[in-house]
Amino acid sequence: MASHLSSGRVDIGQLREVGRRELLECLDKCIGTKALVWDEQLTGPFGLIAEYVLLKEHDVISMCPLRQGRLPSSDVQNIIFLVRPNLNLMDMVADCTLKEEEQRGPKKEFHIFFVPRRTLLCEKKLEERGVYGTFTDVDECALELFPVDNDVLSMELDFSFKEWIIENDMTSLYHAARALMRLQALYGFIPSICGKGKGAKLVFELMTRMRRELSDNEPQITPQIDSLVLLDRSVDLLSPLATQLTYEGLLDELYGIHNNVIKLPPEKFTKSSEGGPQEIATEPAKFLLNSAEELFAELRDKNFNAVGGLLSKKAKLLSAQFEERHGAKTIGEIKQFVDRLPHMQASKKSLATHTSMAELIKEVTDTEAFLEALQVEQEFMNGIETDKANPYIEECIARQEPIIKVLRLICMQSVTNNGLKSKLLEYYKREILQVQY
Amino acid sequence: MTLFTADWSPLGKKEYYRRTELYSIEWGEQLNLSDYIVAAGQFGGPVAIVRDDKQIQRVQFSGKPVIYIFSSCGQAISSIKWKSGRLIHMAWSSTEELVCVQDDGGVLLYDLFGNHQSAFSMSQEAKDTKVLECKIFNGNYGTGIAILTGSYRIFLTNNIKDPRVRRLAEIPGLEAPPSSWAVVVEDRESKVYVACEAWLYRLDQSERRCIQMNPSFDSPINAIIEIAVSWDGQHIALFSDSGALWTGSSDLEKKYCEFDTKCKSRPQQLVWCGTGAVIGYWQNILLLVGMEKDWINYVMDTPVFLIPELDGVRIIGNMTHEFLQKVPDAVSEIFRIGSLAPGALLLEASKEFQRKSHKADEYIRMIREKDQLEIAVQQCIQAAAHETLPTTQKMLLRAASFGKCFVPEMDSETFVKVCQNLRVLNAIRDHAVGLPLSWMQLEYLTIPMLLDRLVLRRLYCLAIRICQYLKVPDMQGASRILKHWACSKVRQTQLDDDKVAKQIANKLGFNPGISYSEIATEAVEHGHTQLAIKLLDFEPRASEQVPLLMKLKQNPQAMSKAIESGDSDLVYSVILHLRDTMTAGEFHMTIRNFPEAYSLFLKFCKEQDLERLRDMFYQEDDYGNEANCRVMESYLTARIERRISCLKCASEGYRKAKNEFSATQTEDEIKLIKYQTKLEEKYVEQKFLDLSLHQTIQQLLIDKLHKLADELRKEFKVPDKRFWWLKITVLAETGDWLELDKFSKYKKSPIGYEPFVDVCLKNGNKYEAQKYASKVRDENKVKYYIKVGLLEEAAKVAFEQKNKMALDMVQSQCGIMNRALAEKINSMKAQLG
Repeated sequence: MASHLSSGRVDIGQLREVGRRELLECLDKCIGTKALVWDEQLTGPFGLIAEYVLLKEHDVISMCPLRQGRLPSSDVQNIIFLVRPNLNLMDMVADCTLKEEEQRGPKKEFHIFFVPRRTLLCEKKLEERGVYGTFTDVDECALELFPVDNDVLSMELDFSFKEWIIENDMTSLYHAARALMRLQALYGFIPSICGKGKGAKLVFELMTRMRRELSDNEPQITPQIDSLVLLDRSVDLLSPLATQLTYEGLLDELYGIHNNVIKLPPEKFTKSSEGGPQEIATEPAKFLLNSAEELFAELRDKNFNAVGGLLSKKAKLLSAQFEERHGAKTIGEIKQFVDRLPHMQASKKSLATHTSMAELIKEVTDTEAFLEALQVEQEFMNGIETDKANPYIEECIARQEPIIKVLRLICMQSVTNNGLKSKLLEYYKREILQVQY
Repeated sequence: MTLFTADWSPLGKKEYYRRTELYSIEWGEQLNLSDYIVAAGQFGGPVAIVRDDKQIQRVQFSGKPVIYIFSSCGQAISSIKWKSGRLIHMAWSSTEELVCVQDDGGVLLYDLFGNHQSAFSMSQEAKDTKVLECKIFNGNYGTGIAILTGSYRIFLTNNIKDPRVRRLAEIPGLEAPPSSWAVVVEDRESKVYVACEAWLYRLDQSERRCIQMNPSFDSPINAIIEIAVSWDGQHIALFSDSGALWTGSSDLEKKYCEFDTKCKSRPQQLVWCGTGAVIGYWQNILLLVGMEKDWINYVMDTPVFLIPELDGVRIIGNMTHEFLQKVPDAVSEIFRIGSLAPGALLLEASKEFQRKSHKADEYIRMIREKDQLEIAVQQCIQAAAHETLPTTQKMLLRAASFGKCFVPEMDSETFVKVCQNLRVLNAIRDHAVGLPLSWMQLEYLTIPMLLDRLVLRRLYCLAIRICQYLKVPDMQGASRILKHWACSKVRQTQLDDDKVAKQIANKLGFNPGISYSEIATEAVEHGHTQLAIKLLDFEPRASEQVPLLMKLKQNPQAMSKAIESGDSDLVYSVILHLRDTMTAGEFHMTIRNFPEAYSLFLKFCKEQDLERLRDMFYQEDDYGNEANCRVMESYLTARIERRISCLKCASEGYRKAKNEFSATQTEDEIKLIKYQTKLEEKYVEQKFLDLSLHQTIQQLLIDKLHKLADELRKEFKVPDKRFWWLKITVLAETGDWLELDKFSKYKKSPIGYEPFVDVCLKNGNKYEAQKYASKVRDENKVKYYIKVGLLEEAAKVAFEQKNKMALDMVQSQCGIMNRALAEKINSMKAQLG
């Protein structure tokens, strides 16, 4: 299922394989049946490297998210917590463990694996809560990079920017450096490294340091990656604030793509081939989006305006291909056609899906609200009236639009205006306070 | 030409034994070995001697004895002034420590240089009843000790490094000391064989039992008075008072032979020579007995001491140090007189070749005819390996290399390995080093162990050279040796710290795999704290360096190193360490010097300990942040009074921080809470608390409390625009069209009338919407007329505005139903031209 990872210029499949092995090694440390308790932040990323079947093969018989309160009851021999080293989670882990311990029935073994590394604070916390000794294993599952696609790896650290910029906490930089070291252990040392921004410089320094610590255990692999560019996000704050206008970008803006999975309202996607009364699906329709799908690979980075044309062209091409069956005369030709059929049918399905998705997007992009927001963004980017209170922002605040949307616009204004005047900022703050809090 | 067989003696028909001189020895002052107790280590280990006070009873008894330690070639290494109790036995452990056993069961360990290492006691019983005899043996777990106490019990430990002493089973009816006993190490277990007169018992350690054994002597015996166990524990030799020597497998199942030595006295030493022969030593006679009852008799000029090795016996005398071994097969094949073995022929061929004689070819042909060239080369290589003289080695290797030329496909790996290892062996056999290892011993010992032994002798340079020569990876070789060197350096108390640190750093540099922290630990153990701190500065791995720095109370340094490493976990470990070991004030003063650590600690407090966080800000006079903490606290409590008091503190804080804006906002919040409380009292069924101002007004509007809403608007200076937005939205949503109409006329709308139209439309009232369409600003009029469906009006406005495009837009909205209007627009367009 991950063959597309190996199709890029660097074989990312290899990285995935290492990740899988790391995870399985952790699992295999515990003998017997297992229940996995997931830090909810981790379920998505781990989905990228291991599928449920694989876990099943290693005696995992149940999984549940880590939440406040009691764990769902199950008669497994091992309970394994897979968590980020986050102090608040430790309280939950401790509660769950204590409650589980109270229960009668056969003794269970507890294990906790930190991703990507255990920390002193977390261990102290567990000790404080008096459960540290309960764990047979307190260990780490050193997974830092998750393969999103054949050209994208992510560390899935959602708050790294805030930690580094606001809290002056370098942890995520340290992890980034470690992740890059691991990457290099796999693909060889990258001969040329350049970067921009303070964070980039720090990461580079940490990497140099780690390499020195590594001393002569350096992997002797010919480098598969030519150069590395390190970018501190603060070098360009504007880009991520603007609304994305590519096909994939819009899907993400409107419905959110998490770990390659998008959830869409089901109405558009009920199967038309089924006869009889159409069942009204209540569950959102889930789709996997990655470059394994040919059509999506082509569409994803296109500006949305170009998507319609491309889709119709593809549709014509496909129907022409289907028409060819009439042209097929000899048995050989028919056989050729039939051979191509599964591929064509897959294309047809994919085309139908993406056409529906494009329709969904278009419904939104055609609304005045969307265009108005876009216009404001563009005005900011062109430096028009960035120093005054923006009526659209005011309106959004007044209408109690999602806070993220409001803040995104204010941030944009601030960046394009090289910072907001304190009076304006206070005005915005007051508005938001009055409306929302 | 040397005769290689000159020192060979035949044993039986096939085997030969040879004595080779390893070193000539000068023991310093003319000493006689027979006056001394001697202990010598295996694998060419060091020799320790101490005057035997049982033999010498001179008048000038000098009180405490002295143990002298020599290398194998008789060079003095060190001496130990023996200060403890009576010494019963001493021997060298497998890691070359001198094991000394006292009569009270105390065991003391010394290194080669006479430094005391450790001590332990064998048992209380040994202390009470004294130790009669002691055996020291080498097993799988290292070196072990067995003692026989005055109560005729045997105590045993398998490993002196981890001394767990066990008492073995008792022997029934034992009333006098046993006539002899020995320890046999088999696999993982050590067993003790005890002979009581003619009876032989085996004591198993694991099951604590005593089994009687019956060695089948042919001749009648009264007692077994000596037992010797072979090096590998597989074979055993028993010597009886009748002079019979019984040899067999160590489980006594198999008997090899029984030999009558015709000597009834107990031999001074009875040892195995390799596994093929047993040597007994009486006064000046050395009797070597083979397994086929063959024997060789050697006469010794001086008293000697025998050291069994795995492939022979070393003989230390007053003047010489010799090695007695069975001539290895390859050597005997080649050098035996009249030998026609392929190796011998190849050697001849090589010699003739060097003489530039054609006979070389003849010899080669002879070998080739039998297709034995490869064997010949192998024999020469093997023989070279077993020779000690470099000239002989060279001769044989030359022959091998010559022979190899005729066997092109031959793998040269063994040849290279032998050449390399011989160089190493020759180097360590040198007088200056004095490690007379044989080839087989090196094979068994392995190169890493050899390096260890060199390190123990402080021959660091030689060890590193060997590593470099054999290309041992740095981690196992050079780096490790350098670390030992550095450790021994820091142990020397008299040297200057600065100098030592500099020397070590110069030599070690940033050598990969050097662990400065290990060296520093060593320094700490020997009380050189300052040196350790200096050394730690060179440690590249922060995770090793920081904990040690903390241990040495170098907190600021630990902190800055942790921060440099970027590993926040490490930083936290220092922070918590400081927090737990310092007073609050000290801690605060320390941590504020490290901005990175300071912010990490703040973050930690924010999650775990809000009060502490506030306290930190208080210490820093950071009123703004202190106020922020108050705000956060206020939201943690559900009680209104408490919340208000928190917020009051916060607003005071903001004022102090000259943050007027936040202060006002906080005060507004207090005001709002008070308002909301009042409202809740008034309208009991409605919740107002925790709503925002906007939401509160909204709620009031929904409940049609327009006056109160207006009051709130004024009180909190809600901007007109937003209030209008809110009001018309609520009015439209609640369908209060009358009020909306009233409101629209109340005064000129600050947000224009477009929103009026929009909210009406949104709530599905087109009719109401039309009312406001006329008030819309001119530029939006056409668009809004279209929106509310008044196309005619739209067309009219467009025409008035002379906007052809707008007309087009209106026209496009006219469906089939509105042909008339479409026509009209056409004419309008025509008028506009």
